[in-house]
Order: sequence, then structure tokens, then C-alpha cells
Amino acid sequence: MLKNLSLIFLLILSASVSAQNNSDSLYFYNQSLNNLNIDHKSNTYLLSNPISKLGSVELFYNNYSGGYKPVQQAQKNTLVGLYTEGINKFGKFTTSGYFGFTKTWQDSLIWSTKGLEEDHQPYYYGSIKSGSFERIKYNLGGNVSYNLIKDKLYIGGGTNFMYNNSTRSTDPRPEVNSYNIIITPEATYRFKNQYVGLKAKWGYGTEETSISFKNNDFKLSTNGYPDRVNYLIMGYGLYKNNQGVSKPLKRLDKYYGLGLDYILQLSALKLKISLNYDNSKEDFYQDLDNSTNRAYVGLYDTDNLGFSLYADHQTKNTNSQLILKYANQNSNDINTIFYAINYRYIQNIGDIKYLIHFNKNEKTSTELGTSLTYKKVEKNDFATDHLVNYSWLEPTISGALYILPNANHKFYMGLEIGYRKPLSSNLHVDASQENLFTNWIVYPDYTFNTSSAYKVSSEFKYITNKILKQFKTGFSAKASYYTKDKVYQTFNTSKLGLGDNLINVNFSFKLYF
Amino acid sequence: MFIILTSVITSCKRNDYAELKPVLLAVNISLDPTLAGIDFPIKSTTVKLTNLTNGNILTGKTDENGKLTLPNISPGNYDIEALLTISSADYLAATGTVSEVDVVFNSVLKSQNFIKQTNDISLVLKTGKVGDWVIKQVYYAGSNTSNGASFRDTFIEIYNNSNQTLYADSLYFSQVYGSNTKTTAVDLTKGYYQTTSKQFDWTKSIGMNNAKANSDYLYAKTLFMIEGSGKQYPVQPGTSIIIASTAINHKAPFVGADGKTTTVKDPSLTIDLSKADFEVYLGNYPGITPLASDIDNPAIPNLKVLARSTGKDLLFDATGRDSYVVFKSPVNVSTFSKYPSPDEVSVGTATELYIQIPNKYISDGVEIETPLDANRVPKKLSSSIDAGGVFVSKGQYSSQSIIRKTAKTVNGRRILADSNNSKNDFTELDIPDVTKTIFK
Repeated sequence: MLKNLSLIFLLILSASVSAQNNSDSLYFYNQSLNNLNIDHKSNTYLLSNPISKLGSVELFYNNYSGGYKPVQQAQKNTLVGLYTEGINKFGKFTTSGYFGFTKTWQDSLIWSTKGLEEDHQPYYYGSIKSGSFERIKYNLGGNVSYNLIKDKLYIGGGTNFMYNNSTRSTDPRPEVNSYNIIITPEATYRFKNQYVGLKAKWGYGTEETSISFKNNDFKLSTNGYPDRVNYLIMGYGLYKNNQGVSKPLKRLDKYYGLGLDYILQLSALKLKISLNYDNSKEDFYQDLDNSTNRAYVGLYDTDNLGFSLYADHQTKNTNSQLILKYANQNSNDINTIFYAINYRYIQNIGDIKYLIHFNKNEKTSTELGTSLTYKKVEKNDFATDHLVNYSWLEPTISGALYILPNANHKFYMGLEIGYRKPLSSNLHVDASQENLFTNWIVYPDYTFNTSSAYKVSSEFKYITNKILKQFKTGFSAKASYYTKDKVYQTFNTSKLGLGDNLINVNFSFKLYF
Repeated sequence: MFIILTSVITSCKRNDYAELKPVLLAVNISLDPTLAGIDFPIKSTTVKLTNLTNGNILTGKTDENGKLTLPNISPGNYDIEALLTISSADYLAATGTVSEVDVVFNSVLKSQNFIKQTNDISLVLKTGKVGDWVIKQVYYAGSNTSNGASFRDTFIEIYNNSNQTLYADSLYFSQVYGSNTKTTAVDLTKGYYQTTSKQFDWTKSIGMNNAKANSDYLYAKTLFMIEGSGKQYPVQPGTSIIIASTAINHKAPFVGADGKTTTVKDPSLTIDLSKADFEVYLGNYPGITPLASDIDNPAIPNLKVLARSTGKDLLFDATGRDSYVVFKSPVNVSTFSKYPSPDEVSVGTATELYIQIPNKYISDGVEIETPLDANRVPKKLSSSIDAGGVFVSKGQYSSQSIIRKTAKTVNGRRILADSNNSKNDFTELDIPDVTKTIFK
């Protein structure tokens, strides 16, 4: 499968590289970049995209540090990566492909050995002892569609393969290997200026978490080194001491899903609407002694419902874009201690964004934007009577300046200011059930998630064709700063305080084909 | 189309399970029916619930009818323990039997699953024999395998906890047989494990026809007896005897049965067992070649070996998966039935059979555990013999032993704690005591 994917990917790029075009402009302007990012994920969207050849390769560096963060997130995170993507339309085929690689170094990460750092996941190992992680991730995928009935019916599909490896160099030291592959067959019907696409989704994944110790004193200790005890977390309050369990925690994932895409293309308006439903089933288990049967730890099911609308409107002097997004996640486990639901996770995210680009002047133009993000999360651990919910609203305003002094150079400067305002929140922990997890994670995270904060972000981009003859070259630098405004609730028994700020910087170097 | 297909996918979801909710637990305490006619007040029996998942502990007291209702506990798996202490005066008044210490009645149920909305649980309070033989010290962990004597220097010390001279003649010592599969890794679908305790279900043993095979009996892996004339080995009140695996000075070099000399690199890690009272020697046992380290000390009487399993000496499990009992039998043990392990699917000439010993004959028992929860194996002793296990904190080959605590001292004689719960009754020594003079 990897070999096939690689071939498709190379085919796409080789075709793209053959001629220089203006693809850098698509990455340069915010609105076209927004479209490009979503078009890659859908054959239907890709078919409606007028671009026939496009490609880019990016080397990037990202670093964040600071204490204004959830507990199960590293204090310092450094990431380097390579990402390349391409689109190519030839004959009756429309293809796209991408390949990403990242290596991450993390410091001072506690209470989590998760391979993929997903906040909602209930089953994972954790310990009080902080440690340094190294992570490697590969992501490879592509889409192909074939015009079966000329300009009417297109069939095809996409695939994505992911591999992630995480290791920690402090006892207890996990090694987590995660794989998954997702296949999405898709059919698109075109009726004049409208496209309707229907896709299915099927996927399979595995993960294995092994724990080892270098120091036998830590390995065999129960009380002497409490920070070295390896716990099995099973929700949001329920955990058990897992010290001495030598068998890996294994996970088997299955994914199913459906997607519906609709596009309406008018002379000055383009609408892209997407509706997605995904279901994942994850089985967590350990192997039994002297048996081919498995000891199931828990089952975890997730339903995701997503909706998005992209509306692009053009006038003589402006390009405007409206983006509406809504995502709902509803997850619950089935804990095999009880054969009942112990953990439930519900998340709702709504996002509305508006951008308007005044492009009357070809050499210097400006863009203004505003957005409003709403997020609500609920976590419930029934066995330990832990209930947490919180919601917040984040309005932002943004401005950007595009400068094109001549055909050889492009400059971009952007600024965004936002404020996170907590709305409703509720925390219930039965006094008799307060435990290590409560004091180390639940209380500090509640303090973080219900606090208000300012966000300031600025970005600079420069694209030129003067460095390399065959490709346009781009540089970008982005910095974001989050600082705590008000903290509304703290807890005496909380083991961690909340930091004041977090700084995130990103540099990238990019070639455009 | 999208809606229809979505409906198909969602219909395959597997969350047709109920959400957990706090549950009600009604505890009913009663006294051992064999004590019928004896009236002990069961009011204020202490009930302790330990949540096996997160370790949370809840306690409560029963009313005059022995009932305790806990209306709002977290669903989950619990160990539940009931404890009633009767003063020696009340015990004498009720039974006419003298006890020098307060008598402890207890009952333990392991790994009870309380997830129904209403849960009832009944515990029957029992006590062990009062004023009899008790296991005072067990040195099962051995000493460092490179610098010490490894498994060779192990022993058990048995103590006269009564106020009368007892005779060790015909006293039996046994290591109990049971499943040593980790509790977390037991495959219940095999069909020969008890669902709750995850120990072997002896009612499934070939040839077994006794519904109380699990509750009223234990099964001996090894069985040793002190041979004597009847009053050959008196043990005074407050004194003890030591049974050694090999009764030699383990600090000094020795020549093994294979003619090779073994020298311990660090004698401070081990002990001198040359003055033990008894030892186990398998050199005379027919059909086997004992371990080279199993040396016979002619000055020390050997125990009679009635069952040895696969052992080529008296071998203690250093990791902590053994259980030990001592008893005297009013009937000849040769009349006891023998059964194959419940996981045996057929019985042949080579199939090992385990001697079925009635719990009622047991004077004392000690359940050993591994230090780490995750490595623990199912309990082998019923809670009336030992409600809770014990272990040395530094684990195998640490030179540590477990030693029973002193409950009180009467006229200079130590009366050792005997609540039939080793978890409470024992503490540990960093170097085992072979002088029999150390008390805790």
C-alpha cells in the first residue's frame, strides 16, 4: 500500500514540477489558502478548483514554551518537519497527494504517555514524573478521480496512511507505536455549475504502548517512589495502579464514515458545503497469559458530526470569504470492569469567520477579518463522580497587508488580536472521590479552561523568484503570544499552578512549483 | 441517501450499555452459625470497603442487627472486610473459654462487584482457633542470588501462642497449591476458575464430588510432618521452633552433594541456620536427586515428607506466591482424598494429585503476596484462615522476613497478634531472626 501511495504521490509531483506557474499566489493570499487547505481533502472540491497543476515543499520549525496550558501538554515543544503536496489534472484524471514528516521534542510532560495527543482519549498510561518525549510522525495520502461520463460523473477515492512513534527517556518510559490507514471511495456528479459528491470512509488502525524501566527500584516499588508509579487512566478520574504490568496496552481501531459535498459555482459567488459523519470504534486490551484470548480493558466509541460552509464572493474591488464551521463529538466508553459506560465526552465547536480583501490597488492591498469561535466541552467520569463542563467564546479581529512591488517579490504582514472569554462552567467532584487524578489534572485543567486570556499573533511572509530560477521561494515567520487575563477558580488541593503565558513561534522555508 | 447510509452506520454502534450511577450497598453481618447459642453483640462491627480500582477506602459501623447501609457509593469492584473485636472477658463470659487476648472475628470478601442500583452483601464473622500454634516468622524471600545464599537459607518459625505447653509431634506444615496465574491475566473462559476469586474451581477437578470443595478445604502442594513419639518435642508457651530448608550455617562455605564448595560472597546478607530445630531433607526421598545444596545436618531432625510436588528441597517462592499453613489432624492424613489440579483434562499415572485438607483443622495460615499489585495471584487461603496477605517490601532475595507483631505481654510472655489477617498481624525484619528472641 505504501509503495502504491508513494507512486501516486511521485506521479503528481513530477507532473507538477514540469512547469513553473503562479501557485505561490494561492498560498500567499489568506482566502485562497483557506480554499486550498480544504480542497485537498475532497475530490469534489478538487474538481471544482480551477487550478490544474500545483505543488509545494515546505521545511518548517515550530517552538512553543510556557505554562499557560493544560496539564497534559508539554511545557516546551520543538518541532521540525517537512511537508509537500501537489495537485495535478491530466486527461480524465484529477489527482492530489501529500507527504508529511515531523519530529518533535517535548520537555516536562506529565501524566500522559499518549502516542497521539488527543485530549478526549480515556485509556492511556500516565505517571506523576515529568519526562522528555521524542515523537516521529509520517503522514502520507492522496486522492484520485476519473471522469467516467464526460463532465458528468467522476469516480475515485482517497487514502491516508499515518505512522506515529513516541518514546520517553524517563522511568516509566513508554514506547508507543500507532498506525492507521483510511480509505475514502468517492463519487461526484456534476450538473452544469453544481457538484454533488458522496464519499464513504473506512479505516483500520492499531496502537501498542509498552512500558519499561531502566531502574529496577522504580520498577518494583509501590510506595517508595510514588512519582514513578505507572497508572492506567480509564476516563477522567478513574485510574488504577498499573505498576508491574509487563504486557503492553494494545488498541485496535475501526473507522467508518460518510461525507456529502455540494458546490455551487456562480459568476461571482462560490459556495462549498460539506456534511460529514464519522464513527470510530476503539478496543483497548491486553493479552492474557497462556491464552489466545484478550483481556479487554475498555471499548471506546466516537461519533463525529461536522458541517462546513465556504462562501467566496468577488466584486470588482474586493474578494470576501465567509466560513462557517460546526463540529460535534460525542464519545463514550464501555469499561470492562463494570460493563457499563463510565466515561462520556461531548464537544461542540462552532466557528464563524469573515475576511474581506480590498484589491483595487494591484501593488498594495489590505485585508480585514473577524472571527468568533465557540467551544463547549463536557467530560463525565461516572465511577468516580467527576463532572466537568466549560465553554468559552473567542472573538478575534485581524488585518493583513499585501505588497507586490513587482512581479518578482511578494510581501505579507498580518496581525491578529483575540480574547478568550469563558462562558458557563461547572465542576462536580464528590468529596469522597477526590484522588490523585483530581488534584493533578482535573483541578488545574479546570482553572486553565475557565480562565480568560488575550492572544496576539503576527505573521510575515516573503515570496521571491530571485533565489532559485526554477521555483519560487517563500519564507515565513509567525509568532503568537497568549497571556492569562483572569483566573476565576483555583483549588487548595491542586498540585499545579497555572502559568502566565505561552509563546509560539514558527519559521518556514517553502518552494512553490 | 446520506441520511439512510448514516442511519446504517449509527445502527451498528455498541453503546447500548447503561451509564454508571452511584449505587446502594446493604451490608448484613452475622456470626458463624457454628456459634449458635452464643450471644455476641454484633453492633458496631467495623465494615471497610476498599475500591480495587483507585484504592479509595470507605468505612462504617453496623447497627445492633448487624446491618449497614451505604446509599451512595461509586460502582466498582471492592474488597469488603468486616471486623468485630470481642474482649477476652466477654469471650469468656459467652463461651466459657479463656482467651488471653481479645478475640477477633472477621470476614473478607474479595473483588466484589457492586454495579447494580441496589446491592446486598452478607458476611459471616468467623474466628480462627484461639490460643494455638501460629506462624511467627517466614523467611521466604531468600538473599541476594550473587552475593548471598539465594533460596537456600529460607525457613519458617512456628510459635506456641497459648499459655500451655504444646507438643510439636505430628505437627504438619504445608505449602498450599493453587493457580499462580496473575489475577489480571486469568482467562475465565477456560471454565476451571472461580469467577470472583479467579482461583481454581476445585469442583471442576476430575473425580471431585463435593460442592464445598472450594469453601471448606485447601489443597496441599507440599506436606511435611514433625515425627515424634507424642511428647518428644515440647514447646513452651511463648517459645517457637524453626523449620529450615537446609539447617547449616549459610554464612560459611559448604560442600554440596555434588562435591563442590560454595562460598557466600557477603555473609552479612544471610544467616546461620545450623541451630534450627528441624529441617527438610530430600536426599532419602525415593526417585529423585535432590538439589546439591540440600545437605543433611545429622544433628537436626528431618521432617517426614508426605508430599513434595516437584520440589527437590523445601523451596519457598521468593517472589511471594506461596501460602503456608500449620495444623494438627485428629485423623490420619493418609485418609484424606487427593485430586488433580482443576486444569487437568485427564488423569494418568504421571498426573500430580493434591491432598485435600479440611480448613477446620488449620491452626494458622499465612498468605504471601507479591509487592506489586499487578503481579498478584489469586488467594489460596479462605478468609477465615487469612483475610489479607503480606509481603516483604523489598521483594525477592532481599534478606527480609515477615514477623508477627506482639499483641500484648502477660507475665513476660509475648502473645502474638492473631486476627487471621496477616496484613494487619505482620511486619518485617531486614535480616531474619534465627535466635527466636526478637519480637515486634
